[in-house]
Amino acid sequence: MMKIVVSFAAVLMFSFLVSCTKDYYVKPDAPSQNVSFKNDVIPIFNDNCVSCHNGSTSPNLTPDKAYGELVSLPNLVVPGNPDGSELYQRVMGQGSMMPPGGMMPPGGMMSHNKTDVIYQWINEGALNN
Amino acid sequence: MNTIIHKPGLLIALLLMLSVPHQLLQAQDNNNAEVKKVQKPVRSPWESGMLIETQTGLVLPQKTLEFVIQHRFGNINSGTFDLLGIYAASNIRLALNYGLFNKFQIGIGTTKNKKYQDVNWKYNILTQTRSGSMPLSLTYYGNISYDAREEEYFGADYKVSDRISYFNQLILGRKFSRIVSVQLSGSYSHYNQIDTTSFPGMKHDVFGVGLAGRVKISPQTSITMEYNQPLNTPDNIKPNLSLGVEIATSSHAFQIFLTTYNGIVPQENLSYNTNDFLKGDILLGFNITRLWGF
Repeated sequence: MMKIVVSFAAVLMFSFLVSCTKDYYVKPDAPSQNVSFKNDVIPIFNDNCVSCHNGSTSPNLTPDKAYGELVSLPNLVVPGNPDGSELYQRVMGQGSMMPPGGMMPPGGMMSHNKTDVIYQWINEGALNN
Repeated sequence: MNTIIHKPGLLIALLLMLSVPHQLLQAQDNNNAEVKKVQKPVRSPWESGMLIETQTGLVLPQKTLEFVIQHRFGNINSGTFDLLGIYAASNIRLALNYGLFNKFQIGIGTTKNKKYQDVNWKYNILTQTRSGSMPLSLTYYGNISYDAREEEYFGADYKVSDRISYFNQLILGRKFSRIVSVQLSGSYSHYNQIDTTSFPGMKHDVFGVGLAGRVKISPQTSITMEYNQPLNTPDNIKPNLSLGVEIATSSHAFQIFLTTYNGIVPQENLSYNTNDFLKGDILLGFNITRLWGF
């Protein structure tokens, strides 16, 4: 029994040493200019948000309601100021507007490809384009 | 026969020969029984392999299979009507554990958030005994987890090893009485890749300590509580406070609780929890376990 446990521990230690690395996330290139709400932002909402934000949880981020909700609720989107927008703060897990809530989506942060698109869209004036 | 009877000295000697070894054997048996008694582990220091978020010192008996369902609802303070987070995004883990040897179990699990696939193991190094000859139990728990999300989540310089993270924990526990059990734990997690752009100050290696306990209020029901504190994380990574109720039978455990963590996988909770219970970021969760013996 002890031999098996020791062997298991040795294999484990070996695999740990072999596979243990210390890498850092390298941010991908920033998205191109002129981000489209319809073509670039809505697909992100569909993939990451709409399973909950579909009318049962505010804001409603379904394609036909999303823009209206985002611009009507206070401070959710501040055109030209992504860092001051709760939408961007939430997807980055930062900011002082919380509570309520925490990072969105709660299952883990979106990839930077997606958060950068949201940043760029707000920075370009949060247009309904 | 008459000769023996008429020689009392011989009779006494015979009786002594018969009785003394028997007494010795009896004494030896008593000693063995005592030794066995000394080595008996305390009965049910914990009802299940996990308390709320953290593992307990309980290791499955050999050839026992355990099916685990862990569920966490959304934060109760989401600010909109979602029935205390029940309608909000949830996290779930399904797992199987098996008692491979005496005091040693292995397990596998799959978690919704970050699509973690984990392999885990637990070994009971020291067992608290009923006699008190060993006053504490010491257990080691570890896992390796694989983040199975799409490649884009790992940035521009992607390597498969970036998906892997590790968790190791030593759990020191004691059953103080039939009612109260307490455990202290020290944890270490390692992520092969960290994102310092989103989490400035994040480290690959994170250490933490935890305190957990249960108070039995009936033979099947306990009040459970936990506190877990990361030691070297950035300021936006927060500790955990959990409070729950456990209802257990010989083959089931049902735990319902309020907790801060929503990650379920321990290294995710230790390294990446942004929920702050001081701001009301708590959520409802439950664990269910079912045992089968083979």
